[in-house]
Amino acid sequence: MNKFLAILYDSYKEAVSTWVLQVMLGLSVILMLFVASISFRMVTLEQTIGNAFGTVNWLSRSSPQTGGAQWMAENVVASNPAEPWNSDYTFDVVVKCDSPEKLKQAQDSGMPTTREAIRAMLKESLYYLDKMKVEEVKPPEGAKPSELRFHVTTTGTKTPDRMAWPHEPTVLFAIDLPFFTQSLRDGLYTLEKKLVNDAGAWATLLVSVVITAGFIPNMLRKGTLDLYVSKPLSRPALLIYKYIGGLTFVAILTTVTVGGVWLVVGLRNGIWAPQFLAVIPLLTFYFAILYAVSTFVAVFTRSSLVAILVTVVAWTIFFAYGYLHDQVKKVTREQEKAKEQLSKFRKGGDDDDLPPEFRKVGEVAEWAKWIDAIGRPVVPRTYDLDDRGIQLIADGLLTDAEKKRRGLDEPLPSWWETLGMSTGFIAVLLGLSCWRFSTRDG
Amino acid sequence: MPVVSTNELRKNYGQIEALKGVSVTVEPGQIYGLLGQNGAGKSTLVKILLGIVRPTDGEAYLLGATAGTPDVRRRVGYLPEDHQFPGYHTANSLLDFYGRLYGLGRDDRRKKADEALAIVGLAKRKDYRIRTYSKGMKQRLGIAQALFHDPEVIFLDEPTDGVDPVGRKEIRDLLVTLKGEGRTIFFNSHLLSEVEMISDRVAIMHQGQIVRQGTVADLTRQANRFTIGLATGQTFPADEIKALGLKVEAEGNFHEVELADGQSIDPVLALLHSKGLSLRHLVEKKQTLEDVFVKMVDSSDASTGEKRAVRVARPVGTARRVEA
Repeated sequence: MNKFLAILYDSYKEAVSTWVLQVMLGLSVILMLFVASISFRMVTLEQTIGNAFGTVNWLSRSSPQTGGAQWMAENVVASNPAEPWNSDYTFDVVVKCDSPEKLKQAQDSGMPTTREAIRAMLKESLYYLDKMKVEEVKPPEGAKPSELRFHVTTTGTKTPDRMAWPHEPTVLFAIDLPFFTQSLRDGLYTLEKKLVNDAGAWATLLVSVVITAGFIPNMLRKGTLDLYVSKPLSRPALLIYKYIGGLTFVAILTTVTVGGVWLVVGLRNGIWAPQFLAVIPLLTFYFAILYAVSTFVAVFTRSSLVAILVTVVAWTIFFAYGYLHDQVKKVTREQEKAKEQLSKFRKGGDDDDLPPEFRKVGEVAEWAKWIDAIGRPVVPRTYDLDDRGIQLIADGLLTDAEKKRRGLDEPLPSWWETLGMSTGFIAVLLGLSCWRFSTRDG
Repeated sequence: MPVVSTNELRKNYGQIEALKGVSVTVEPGQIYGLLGQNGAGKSTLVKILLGIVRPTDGEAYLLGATAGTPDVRRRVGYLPEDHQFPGYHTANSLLDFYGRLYGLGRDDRRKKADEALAIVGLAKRKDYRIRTYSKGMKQRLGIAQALFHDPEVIFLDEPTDGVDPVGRKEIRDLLVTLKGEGRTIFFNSHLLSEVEMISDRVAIMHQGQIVRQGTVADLTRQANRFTIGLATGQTFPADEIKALGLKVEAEGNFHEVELADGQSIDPVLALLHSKGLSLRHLVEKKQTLEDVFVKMVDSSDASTGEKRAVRVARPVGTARRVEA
């Protein structure tokens, strides 16, 4: 154990000596400060409608053929203003033009001026309101003839708590981003996923691949290797310890970054979703796969540069395979659903009865199926780890409805399959590396 | 029980035969010097003993066990040639790191590291990064790391490489001190004079074979040749000595007399005495280790039909003289 810790500490010193670890930790702190600068303010229904109508109004203003129609909400009344997510709502949607001719022009242009179109627009932007009813009503007396009015009532909401209600983000303590208004959960999910799990993880992994690629070739250098292997330590143990030393680099970075962001999000928003912390071991494990490739190449070539290049190529292949696998899975699933619905509709019968062009809808190319099939037992499950990370973040923040809306309700392969396949891949590469390292001279 | 023992050790690197059946034995407490040109196979032999290189055939034992196992390496110190220590360590942290690999406790590591660094003269620079060290300082550190964990046998590959003359003498003295403590030292060197000065036994290696080994005295003795000098103004009776059946050659003011096997110098001394000549100089002629080394290499090359294009000059060892 003491030897293991010694090699681990030595790897840490090596990483620190390059200053990259410190720079990366500095960037992590900047990321944390940026996250700390983001706040979310709960908005009223009126503001949300205003944001939604803002886009339509801008489009209408910039297209002369729409008659310059403007949409606005009036008489917004909440039954429980203190808890907007526990409220019933009534309000009027008013469509105004300068003249009856222009109103006619707007109606002819296909802009939402009918009850159905208004309802569809509201259902999309106010998806969290329940039991929405829209009735066209007569404009009040004295109103211009170039005006349409719809009375909207909703009963209850689909938001179980404050965090599911729309919030408007403010970044860098001052800059409001009304177009990014979404539920607090959605906002935090986006923040944790995009900033940490996507961009942050990608940058961390790439830098780590580059930095740690030198650890093993450095050890294998003439003059250095002799000093290591003349110590009372077996070669496989030495190599595995060095490998784990490389992993500590990523473990430190992800722990500081993810842990720091989790702390900041918790302190700023009062949401302490522990699932987000699972990104630390997931990312470290993801890197363990890449570093196994790097170690394997380094032992065979003793070159940092070749190790980096091959690892990045392997990473790209894993990503591309994962994308292809997801697409094959998605199309196959849609195809099955379509067939199922079709058979219900046709009440039996054979697919051969269908016209050929109908049968081809959504089919997966043979080559894609072939690559998917042969890659499945070989390629480590980096793409599953990606999905797992996203799902864990979602589990900690989103409601089931929100997850469904984001397509995160699809079942993932079992943990056993994901970790087992990837661990097997690592074991094979490290096994070959240890064999080569033990049987080579010097 | 010998500390080092190899039997018909062979090593091939592809088509190249680096070792061709090397058998050496090193007894406890000896300083064993291994001489040889670059590529002779010296480092390969040491690396096999330490498990760094795997032998193709033959047997190698170290401290009574199969050479190269981790347990044996715990009892061994090693300074490789052209070593490169991680520049991010200080001398202190490097020895601490290696001490942990040797399984030493914290207090033991600290104490032994301080002692070793003091011995090699790096105590004042122990907390400086190694990347700031001169070549000589790195070499001293290399020696410190080879001996700081109290190994029973120490392998040194060119230990004085890059060290100034004063430092070299200090290293030689250190090796003698370590020998005095009962440690066995096995070292490779190009500096024949150093090998000659401190080694108990020497082996000359050439093209993967041990071409000669023995004590320094054995190797450098030039049997049956004496240099004789008389008092000023006296004439050396060369003809009369030749009449005794001996060969005589003038060498400046001296004469060199070569005896046949089994002959003694006593008849020559009796003749000089009977003629009333005053003997002022009588030395049993010796050859330097370099002479022996070059002769061995040349004769080995001649027997294999190889010819060296250029003879690399090496520092000349000091001849030992026996004053009469």
